[in-house]
Amino acid sequence: MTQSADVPSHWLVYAMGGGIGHVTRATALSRSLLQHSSGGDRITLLTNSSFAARLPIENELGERAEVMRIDSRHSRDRTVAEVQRVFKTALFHAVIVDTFPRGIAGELAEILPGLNCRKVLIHRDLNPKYCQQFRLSEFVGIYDRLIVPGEAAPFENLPNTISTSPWLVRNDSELLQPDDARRRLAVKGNKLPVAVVLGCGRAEEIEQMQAWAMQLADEFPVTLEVRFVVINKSESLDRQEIDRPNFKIVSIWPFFQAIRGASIVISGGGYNSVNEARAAGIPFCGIPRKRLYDRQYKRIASSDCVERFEDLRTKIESSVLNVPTQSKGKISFCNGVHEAVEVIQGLVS
Amino acid sequence: MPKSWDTGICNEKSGFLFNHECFQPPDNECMKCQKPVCSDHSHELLDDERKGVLCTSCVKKDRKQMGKRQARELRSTNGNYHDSYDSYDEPYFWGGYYYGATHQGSEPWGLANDPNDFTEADAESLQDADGGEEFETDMSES
Repeated sequence: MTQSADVPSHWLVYAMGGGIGHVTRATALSRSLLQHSSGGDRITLLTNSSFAARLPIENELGERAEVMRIDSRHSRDRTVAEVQRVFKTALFHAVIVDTFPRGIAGELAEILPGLNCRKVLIHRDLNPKYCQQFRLSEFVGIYDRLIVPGEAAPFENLPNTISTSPWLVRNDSELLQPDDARRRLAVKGNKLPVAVVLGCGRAEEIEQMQAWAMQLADEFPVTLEVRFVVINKSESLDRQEIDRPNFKIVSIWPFFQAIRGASIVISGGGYNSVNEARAAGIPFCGIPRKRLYDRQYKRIASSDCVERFEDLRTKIESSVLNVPTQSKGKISFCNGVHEAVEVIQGLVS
Repeated sequence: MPKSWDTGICNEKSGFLFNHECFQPPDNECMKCQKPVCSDHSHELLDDERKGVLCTSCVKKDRKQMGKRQARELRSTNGNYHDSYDSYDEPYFWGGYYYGATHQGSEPWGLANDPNDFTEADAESLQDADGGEEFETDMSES
């Protein structure tokens, strides 16, 4: 379905999938789409992230966006039913699907062929076994465009595919300045380096990151500030802060806005954390997590990969404590999400 | 020193994506390396100069050696080249492309570099994935 310029667009951004990555990338895209569109255009963002209930996505996107949250605990069948229901709520001018060509449950394989609208796939690296098993090389032909957001992907050489720089939820000019970012991270003064540990992923992974953050605080009590960034801060953690003057738990989303307050970012190997640290020029180290589709070990440079706490300690010593204070001058990076928006808008104009 | 083979089973280790042992009884002996091979791993030569059976590994080696020359011949004969084996359509000779059908019209036997070839990392994932992952069933995956 193409449309004339005076008819408002209604986009559906499909951001189903676990963790916080899909919904953060979809937020980055939606934010840019709305910024670059006319006042009547609207977005429906669909997510089943277990974090979504606590993420202020509406604050990021404003009134022209509707966020539909499907309970992450739903069964596959119920999830499929919910997705089908959302597709029936409106006539969308374009559907933008993040990562999973057939949908998280394969449900889009039945839905998409019946839609008379533009279809765009945010095409990322996928487990090749998944590609083979579901013959994705053929299935992606249903999409008008594949947009590769900054990382290699299996079908990136198809003629209707466009590659961009990584998509980020903030532009370079929108990041907090280092001093403001440190304040946002509840760091007083600017003498000590700050290690930011991101608590994301599965529950047991968050627990591990929290334990590592506290251990870092214990091992470097007077030389390092440690911040554990987590979406859901439980009251049981308060005691840990009291016992450790150089340790605090903060809730910030998107964390990227405060990244310049960090001297190093410690995380899993997810798309956003790796690309954000890279864009901002902040040292990074990550634990590549095992995922069914995403291959995180391919994303993290081997020198930034940590498996044990001892590796992390060594990395902190070499990259943060034993190096001269880094200059915090102006930073500049290209946010690929704007290139993607141009492509998408070109499809429906 | 010639390699010794187990006589009671097919000695070929060749698969679609990854080499694995074959425990079928042998039906033939490779004329090149004398390896006992089952019927699945036997490939009959069809040309006028050579007669006999080769194992899958030797066919692959042979094919590799002949590949460039034959590619040139293919071009010079406007695509009417006929190979010497009876079984290039068997999975042992498929190239492991993401796109099973898109290599038509490219150079024969995958001689041209296809950017969509599996990489070493892909092979690792494919091996890992044999562990029984069930795609499109876990709604919390990413």
